[in-house]
Amino acid sequence: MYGISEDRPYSKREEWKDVTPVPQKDGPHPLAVIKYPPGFEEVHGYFRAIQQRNETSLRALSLTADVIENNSANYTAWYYRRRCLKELDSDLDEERVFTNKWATDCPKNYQVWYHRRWLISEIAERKRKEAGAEADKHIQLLARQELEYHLDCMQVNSDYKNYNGWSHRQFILQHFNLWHEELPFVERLLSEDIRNNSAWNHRYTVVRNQSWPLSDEIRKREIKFAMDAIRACANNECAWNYLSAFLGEGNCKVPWTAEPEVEVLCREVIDVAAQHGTCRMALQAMASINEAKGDVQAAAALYSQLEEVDRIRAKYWAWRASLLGAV
Amino acid sequence: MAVQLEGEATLTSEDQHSTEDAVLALFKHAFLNNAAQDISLQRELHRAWLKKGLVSLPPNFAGLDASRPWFVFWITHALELLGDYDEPHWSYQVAGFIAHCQDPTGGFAGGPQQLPHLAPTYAAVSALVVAGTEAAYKVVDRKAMYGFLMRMKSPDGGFKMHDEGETDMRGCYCAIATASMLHMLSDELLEGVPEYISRCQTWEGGIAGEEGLEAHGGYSYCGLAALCIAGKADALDLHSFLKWAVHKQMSHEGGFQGRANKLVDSCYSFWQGAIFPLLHEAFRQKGGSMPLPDDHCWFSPQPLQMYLLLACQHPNGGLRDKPGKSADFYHTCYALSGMAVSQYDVQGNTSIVGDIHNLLERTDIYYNVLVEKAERRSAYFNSLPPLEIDGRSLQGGEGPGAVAWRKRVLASRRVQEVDASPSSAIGRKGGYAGGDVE
Repeated sequence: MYGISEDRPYSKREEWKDVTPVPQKDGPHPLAVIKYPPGFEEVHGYFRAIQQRNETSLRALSLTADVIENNSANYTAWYYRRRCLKELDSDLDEERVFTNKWATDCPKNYQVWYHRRWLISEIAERKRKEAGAEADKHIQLLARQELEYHLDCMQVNSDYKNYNGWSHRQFILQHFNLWHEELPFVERLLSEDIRNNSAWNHRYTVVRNQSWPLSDEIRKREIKFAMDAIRACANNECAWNYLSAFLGEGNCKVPWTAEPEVEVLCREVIDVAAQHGTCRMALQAMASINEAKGDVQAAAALYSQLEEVDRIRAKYWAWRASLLGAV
Repeated sequence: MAVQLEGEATLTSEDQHSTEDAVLALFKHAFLNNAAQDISLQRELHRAWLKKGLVSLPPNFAGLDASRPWFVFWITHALELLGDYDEPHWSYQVAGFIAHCQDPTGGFAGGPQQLPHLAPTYAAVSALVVAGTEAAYKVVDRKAMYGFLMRMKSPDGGFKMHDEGETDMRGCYCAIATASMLHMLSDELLEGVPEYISRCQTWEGGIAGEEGLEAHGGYSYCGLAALCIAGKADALDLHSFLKWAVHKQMSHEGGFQGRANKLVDSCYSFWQGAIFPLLHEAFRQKGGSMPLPDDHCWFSPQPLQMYLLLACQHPNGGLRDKPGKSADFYHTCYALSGMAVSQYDVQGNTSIVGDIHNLLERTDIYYNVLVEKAERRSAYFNSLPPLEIDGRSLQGGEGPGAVAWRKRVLASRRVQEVDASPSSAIGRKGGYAGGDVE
């Protein structure tokens, strides 16, 4: 295993005695000087030496694992590690095992996820060259395992909104052309947390990649999905935003007046909300419907109501009202 | 099915409620124990804590060893916002240390002898601009830098963060802002950039880190600021952008969230807060007959400042993401930067919550260094002869958007200085406005 390191300092290891560690050159006026923990400087000293020698060997590969163990955000170490893996033609399945813990332990680390992205593409590339008729099957399996891995990471950390993780998932779907299988996954996540905006965004991206340009049927399906979600939880901003992704002006949208049930729903939400305060998203949608109808007065009344009840955005609503006559 | 307003509790709503409770408890405590004018920024605490960090950091910072120019920028910029950056004392050291992070092939790395990377490159150049001396400006090998920036361009119009590294929206901002600060923003560097950024504007209106991902405050700032600097903000749908951004200010907490249904976080005070003056500028760049408001305050500056002052100041110095977290330099820098952005409107009028001494220095919305430092840097690079690269002279400047905004800000400042009265220094909306929080 390349990732396993031993406890003896490098200076005491026979296989490293030909290497002189290179100190860090902070200069005479260093700032933000980190009091490095024990072992940190030694490992980095050897890493600088290896880079200077431009050495891509097994020991160099194992050294990068030690550097990453000390600082997983060290992009130079990850970069150099990829160089070693390429030049040594290393076993990349082992490398996948090595990266497993990093993405679950440091989910917000750009380097780990980028490394993983490179790794999966590289493994697929090699399988494509080697495996002949079986290649496709192996590659599809690899991609699906990777989607499972993303789900595991979210579950282990109880974080279903991790940006780098979602980036990885979308890369896999795109790279291996798996968008068409993805909708059930989105629906499962949204059924667990209807307020998860990352899942809503993913839904849109799935539709965008699978069903574009939109047919009337798909658009109606998505509008209905948003409306059902609003019904179940009207104060959820995501569902309203999703609704307006298909209504108004723009590519593949229809006017706010095109689906009369939307107005019915808005009125219902406004009525129910009136007993407890207000729902700014419903008022905003209603204003858009009135603007689409050309009913400037009704829209202006809604904006002035919003100005009253949604104080933190009062100036925005006043400005929106001022545009009614102007545009 | 009848309409449910709240629906079933989920992970998102539970996290939101506990954060709201924690913030509102601090607000209540403050209102019961303080007179409005006593709500104050603990300048002494923060500056002492910042200066200590600029010199040395404890072992648990080892995981940030590839971000050292960032520490220099976060801390020196926070100090200059507080009006406490001691130029003779620090600038020599900043120039000396940052020079050691420069790579011979161009660009700056996260520390000495590391690989050059766009993020620490932006941080290093900004730190040199904060340093503000000719010696600091001269640290940058501009010729090599231009080569580095061009080398990072990726075929899709974005920028890689480093050789063989990832491409995302941070790269666009770091490359464009760096080129602008060094007067090297050329057409070839900008080629494909507006299209790339436009593709990353999402169905929600904000900008994502990569095409297909979720609209996000940090990436939204990066994409919008890059385009505004270049004078190319008309590549975006500005109305949907604004609609998205205004909804990211939290009704109860007053601060900003980075994405829909995420928690308030003080760093978005800058990333989201600066979007408003940028959009004001972007609408101006787009032209047309649409009436623009007098100022950029489509959001509410006062509740934002309330959140920062009452919920984010750590008793041991520094500012934090939200109650319950510890203070760190990143959040301190961007909480203060956001506070500064929210204190000045386009005309230079101020809006200050609490003690009038809470007013910070004005920051440039494009680079996030003081306006005065941006101007000083501009004068220096304007005085240089054109840069010769491979036998041709580089046709690159600061970008028309960056120049126009700073000119307007400095002009409004001069007007204010002429009719300075004691009250205009405090500002027309100065003082306490707790009512907005409810």
